[in-house]
Amino acid sequence: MCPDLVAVDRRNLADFLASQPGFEAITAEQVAAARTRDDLGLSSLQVILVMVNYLAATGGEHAFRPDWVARLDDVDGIASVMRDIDSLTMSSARS
Amino acid sequence: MTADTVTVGSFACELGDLECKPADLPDFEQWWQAESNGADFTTMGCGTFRKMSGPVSGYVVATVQRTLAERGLPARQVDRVVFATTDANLAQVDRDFVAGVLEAAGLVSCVPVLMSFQQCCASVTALGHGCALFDDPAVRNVLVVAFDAAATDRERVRQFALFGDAAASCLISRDGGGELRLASSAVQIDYEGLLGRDSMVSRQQVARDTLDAVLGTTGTSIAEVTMVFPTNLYQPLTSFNAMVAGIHKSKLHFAEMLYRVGHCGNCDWMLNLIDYRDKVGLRRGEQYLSHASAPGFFAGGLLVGV
Repeated sequence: MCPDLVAVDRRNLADFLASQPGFEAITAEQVAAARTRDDLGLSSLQVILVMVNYLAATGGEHAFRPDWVARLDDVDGIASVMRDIDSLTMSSARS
Repeated sequence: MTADTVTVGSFACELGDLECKPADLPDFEQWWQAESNGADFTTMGCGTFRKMSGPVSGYVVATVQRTLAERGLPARQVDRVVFATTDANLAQVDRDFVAGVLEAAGLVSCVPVLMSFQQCCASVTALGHGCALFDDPAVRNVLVVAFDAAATDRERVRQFALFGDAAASCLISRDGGGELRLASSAVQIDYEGLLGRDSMVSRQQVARDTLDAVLGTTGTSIAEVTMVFPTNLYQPLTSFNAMVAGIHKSKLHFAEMLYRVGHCGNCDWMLNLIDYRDKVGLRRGEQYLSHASAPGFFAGGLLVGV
């Protein structure tokens, strides 16, 4: 993965967390430095909330894909799932 | 599975008689923060929950009476009763429980058994066990009775659900009369989850394995299932758990009962089925999935309208 793209994904995650009730205390710097969701202090419930809320925020048209689950334990994985949700949303908008 | 003439129906429930709001709990905010690590409770899909003001046995008797009254079946004609409850609720099953319930309900020719140690999946297993009892040709009517009530208010507020109190029941009969037939059922264990070491991946795996076992028996795809009646975990969790198991959230019927009564242990799938039956109806030939999850377990039952 291109380092610049990873940074963009992490910035997207940080921006989204900042917009969500209960996650405001997590800073962009913490997201940039963290490796796992535990590093950010995110419980499995909170990661699920982030994903469900992100799906809703991007239109609620798409379901969480079962093969994404394995990516949710590390920060790059969470950010990459959000990128995949964006891609699905953009594909739908174009078609 | 059992013969086609064995049907399941007359679902009934008795909710806790006190309607409460989470804010009514004395230290709710403190408990929720401790459980959720700062998540926003208003997004959990919970409105009220029910609390029993008396011993759970009274509610068990009431739901049994409702089930029998709906069928018009005299209590003396029930051969077996399969009770189901979560591990935490076992303490409420004291030495007088069975005798008291059988006597109060008039179940004078009825052999009781208790299904537990499978947390909120116990009643799905109880349904399968109840149907299997029909291998004995002498068995004609079997009650399945699920019940759960939190022992303390602190136990109601958990990381994955807000607990309410309820009892729910149904009747399995050899001579028909029910709306459904149990086509298959399965329960599987997530050993790491039982020990509190589960992960999202391990939970997803046991969910998918269980669904494969339930649906594979009959060659059914999840797309062919009309509606799924799940465990009432917090709304985002229930939706997520379904999605990662390959179930579209549009197939879930739970949100209103979650909002009204919370998570009533192993009663949830029956409460959701009752709500759906009352609003939409259970239709001949359509397939429905009872779908229960708990730390360490996952269970499902495929029910077909008759």
